[in-house]
Amino acid sequence: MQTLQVNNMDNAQFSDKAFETTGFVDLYARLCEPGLTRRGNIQRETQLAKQAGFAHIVCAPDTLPAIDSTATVQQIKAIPAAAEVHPMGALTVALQGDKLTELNILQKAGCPIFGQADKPIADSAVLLRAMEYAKTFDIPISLRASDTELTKNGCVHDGPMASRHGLPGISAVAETAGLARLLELANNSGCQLHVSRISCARSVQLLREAKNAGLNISADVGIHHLFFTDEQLNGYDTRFHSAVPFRSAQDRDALRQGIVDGVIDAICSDHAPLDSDARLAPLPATASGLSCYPQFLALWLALPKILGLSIEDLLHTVTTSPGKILGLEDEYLATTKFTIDPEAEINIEDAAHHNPLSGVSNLKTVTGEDVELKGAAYSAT
Amino acid sequence: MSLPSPQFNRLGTLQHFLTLDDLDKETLTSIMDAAENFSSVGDRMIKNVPLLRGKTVANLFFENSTRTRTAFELAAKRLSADLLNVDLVTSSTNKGESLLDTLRVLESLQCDMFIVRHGESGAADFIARHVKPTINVVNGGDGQASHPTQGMLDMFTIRQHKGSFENLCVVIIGDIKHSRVARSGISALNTLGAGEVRVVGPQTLMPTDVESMGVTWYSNLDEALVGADVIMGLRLQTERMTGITVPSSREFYATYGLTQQRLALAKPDAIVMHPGPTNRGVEIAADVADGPQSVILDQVTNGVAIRMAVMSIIMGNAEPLRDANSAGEQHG
Repeated sequence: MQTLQVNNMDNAQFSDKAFETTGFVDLYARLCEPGLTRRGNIQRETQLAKQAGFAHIVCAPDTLPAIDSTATVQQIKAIPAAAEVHPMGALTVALQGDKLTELNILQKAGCPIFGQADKPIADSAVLLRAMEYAKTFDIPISLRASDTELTKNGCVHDGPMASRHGLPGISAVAETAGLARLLELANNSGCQLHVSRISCARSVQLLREAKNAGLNISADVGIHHLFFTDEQLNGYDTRFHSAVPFRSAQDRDALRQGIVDGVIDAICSDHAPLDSDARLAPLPATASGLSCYPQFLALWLALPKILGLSIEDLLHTVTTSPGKILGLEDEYLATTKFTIDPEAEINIEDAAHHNPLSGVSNLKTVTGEDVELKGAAYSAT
Repeated sequence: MSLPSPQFNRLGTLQHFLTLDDLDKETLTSIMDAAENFSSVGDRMIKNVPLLRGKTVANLFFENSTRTRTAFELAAKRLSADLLNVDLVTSSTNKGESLLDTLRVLESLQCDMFIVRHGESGAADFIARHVKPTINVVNGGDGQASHPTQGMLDMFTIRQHKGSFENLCVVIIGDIKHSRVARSGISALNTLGAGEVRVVGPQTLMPTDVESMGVTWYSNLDEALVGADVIMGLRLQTERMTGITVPSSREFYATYGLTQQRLALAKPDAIVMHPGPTNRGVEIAADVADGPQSVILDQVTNGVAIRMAVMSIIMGNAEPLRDANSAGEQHG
């Protein structure tokens, strides 16, 4: 294995040679502690994350209890982990969407960013006050764009697949109507808004327009959404039941374009470990979410070829860009180093979590795209 | 790229009856041909044949149903099966027992066939993927997805009255979005080569990209009825009539109700169908439902023959393959 420095790499040769990088930063993962340890736990998930090159992980606040008290933050921080865990603070008490948490106290306890996980703030007055309060102290907030009522009862993208299968759909407008609302309120409050896990073409367009207008916003996408579409759910394939639904091929392509032109700043894992029986029910009744860490690196390493970029062009999506959103200095990020070998053969074994890529070595059998799954990360620090 | 259909066993024959979506024209025709043979059983002095003698059929209805459950019950009895009616609507499934646990219990009671009705789309598919290979599963309606025996009895009724499907213009009125009956009907009509399938209703009752299902969408009923050979009404669920999908039942009847006046726009020999129970004065006028063009009661009668056909066809296809003595028995 030949190790090369990122900065003086010839792009053409770059993709198949090992290189060194600072540790990756994940803006959204479920680490299941406290309270949900039958799905996963901090030690195990951060170990898997480290094997994918991650050094920093933002854990979602929808734990049990939610991350809305210093006790819970301290509890999370006290658990030995293979990567640095940054608890996302709950923006509202118990994520109920009606009462603000103690943002300053929680920030001092170790929450660099605040959000609602997949829970809504239906009341626009609460949301606007939350943004204004966060803005006062320059606290970034990370929210998923989603209109509560339009999302209700849906389980998959509302398109031809849902129509054929008689599945209750979540239309793209459920996300874009929610996004337009977030952008207007962010514009009004001036807060630092990060839009978490977008899924459709129109969202990319709305973000592009908002960024061009000078709004202080950023956005990320879950890596699976750059590969999967709703067609993967054909035949009620519950393994692809995602909280943020996989949408059409046009949507996926627009998300890819959003990475290329920088409208989307970061790529997150949206890692969601599951109970072993979480998928043993008819699709609408199954738990949503996909385990991601076992395949994150291989999928990310496949992106340069798909997007026509070099690895160097893409490195910011998992290092400096998410780091900046969290307020982590580049020098701090540089304290962890990984060597990544894009050619390393891997074996994804994650059947217990109903991982659709378990045992898969090429996405051809899953999505039809010829994408080889290879690549391993080695911690150098 | 998508999961293989669980309907077929490893020999490629039909073990379960879950959806009409991946069945070819020959299979649909053979089911109707078999139903043709079973039609006369109900007219006989002794109303049964011994095809399923010694087999146990369990009606697993997780949702309320009178018509479908009764038709399956009668079909099983006319095939001489032992029938177990399990009332799951008020049973332990309401105490938090998972669907899979319920299935395992009923498997352990050594049933041979499950007739399943469930409120979630994909439930029958899920059950078929998880039962022992010795069991057959028939979908008695799952969520908004499929109601394949209803679809087949509708096709059988159309064939009885119209002879064939070519050049037929079929109009389906009402709540397509939430209707498993419509999905199964549309799928079968396209497979059987119907000339044109039109769906009629407001956008609120249409699935997204409805035309991708192989139909033409009309918002105006009068326009849609011109040239129709077959008119199928659908039941409008009471809870949807006063909600945000339709302002009121009165408004629906005024806009999409099938009246004698509107029926006159269709071909003179057009037939009127409805899966029942009908909401008279909402989807259909009483004099149309009871009129000479209505074949609604034929549908009910045909429902038994179709279910006898389906149950007898798939019963022989469970694994391990049954011995020649029980598989080869002929009725009549």
